[in-house]
Amino acid sequence: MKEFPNDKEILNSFNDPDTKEQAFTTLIKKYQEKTYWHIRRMVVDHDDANDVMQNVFIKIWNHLGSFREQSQLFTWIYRIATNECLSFIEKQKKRNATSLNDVAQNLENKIKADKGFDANKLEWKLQLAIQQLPEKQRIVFNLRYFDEMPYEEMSRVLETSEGALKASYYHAAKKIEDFILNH
Amino acid sequence: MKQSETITDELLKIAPGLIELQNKQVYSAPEGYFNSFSQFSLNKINESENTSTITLQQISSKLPYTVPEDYFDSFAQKVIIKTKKAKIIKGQFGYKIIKYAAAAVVIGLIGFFAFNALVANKYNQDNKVFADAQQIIKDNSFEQVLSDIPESDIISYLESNGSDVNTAIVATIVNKNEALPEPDAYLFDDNTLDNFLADYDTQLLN
Repeated sequence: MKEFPNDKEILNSFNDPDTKEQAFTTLIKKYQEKTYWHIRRMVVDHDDANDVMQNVFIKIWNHLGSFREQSQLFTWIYRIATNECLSFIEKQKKRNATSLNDVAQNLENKIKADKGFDANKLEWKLQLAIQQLPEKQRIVFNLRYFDEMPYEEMSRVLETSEGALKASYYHAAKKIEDFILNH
Repeated sequence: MKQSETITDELLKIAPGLIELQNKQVYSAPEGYFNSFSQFSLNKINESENTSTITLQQISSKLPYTVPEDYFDSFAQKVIIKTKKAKIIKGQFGYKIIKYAAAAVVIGLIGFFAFNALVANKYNQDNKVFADAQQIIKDNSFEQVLSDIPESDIISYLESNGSDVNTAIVATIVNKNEALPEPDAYLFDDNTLDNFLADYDTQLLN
């Protein structure tokens, strides 16, 4: 696994005009994969994920200079990525004037269109089940189940109380298990 | 306890069927995507920053509007011609104004003598003038009387009673009440009447 400088070093380099681009390249390389998979699980399609990724990192470029280090850098990046995912989904809804069910159907179609899709494999069923959840429940489930994020950190990313997140995760996991058992 | 163990324990209580599926990634990113993404992002950022700069520079020097060919070459001449035309038309209109002003003079004279006669109780002294005025009103013979008044008298009267004449002119030339300024307009702007007359003058010129 490649070693990256710590966040403090990256931020210091970013604030120096001579090393700004180099620091930003390092930051992207350090966090791009985790950010990408977080986004990809939400929007499913790679092209959509790539669009959201670009928006996320352009925002980071524009605002990193004013990052106050009150939270961890990655928590901040996750928050931007999550908000970008939600705005992307919201825009899609408005563009297609779709309801929540239509969004789920749309995502289901995208999953089924994936070249690796196999309806018999449980891991694909899991993905179909996740897309049936409301967006915020989906985010909570993904962050906990795949990223193994502690509730405390998730609370900072989503600006929601830990209790509410635990309840949300509980409901999400139950619904997903039911879906897999019944499909 | 490790975070992964905490999560597994949690799943065991909530939905044990999901434990075995954890950490199985089904999606894939295109080959080399993560190697090129940072460079791609930087290019995008530089591109958008350069685009913004170019656009701002262009705004200051390039306007999207055009003017007809030779517009500025002939503009001064057109204005001079218009000015001359306006003078001629204004002269014609001025004659009309004198006519209306004369009417105002007659009304003013009638009012003046009638007021003096009433206030000063000089019915006897000015009886003839008052009777003449009454006769003019009765016969509706303004046109005839106007033609007999010398222009110099009219100008002299206008110079000493300008604002009263303005009001008389407005009352005479404006037929529609809605064309007059609102009463409040006089409170907010002392020049309301002058502006109205100037506008009216322009409308007639057009």
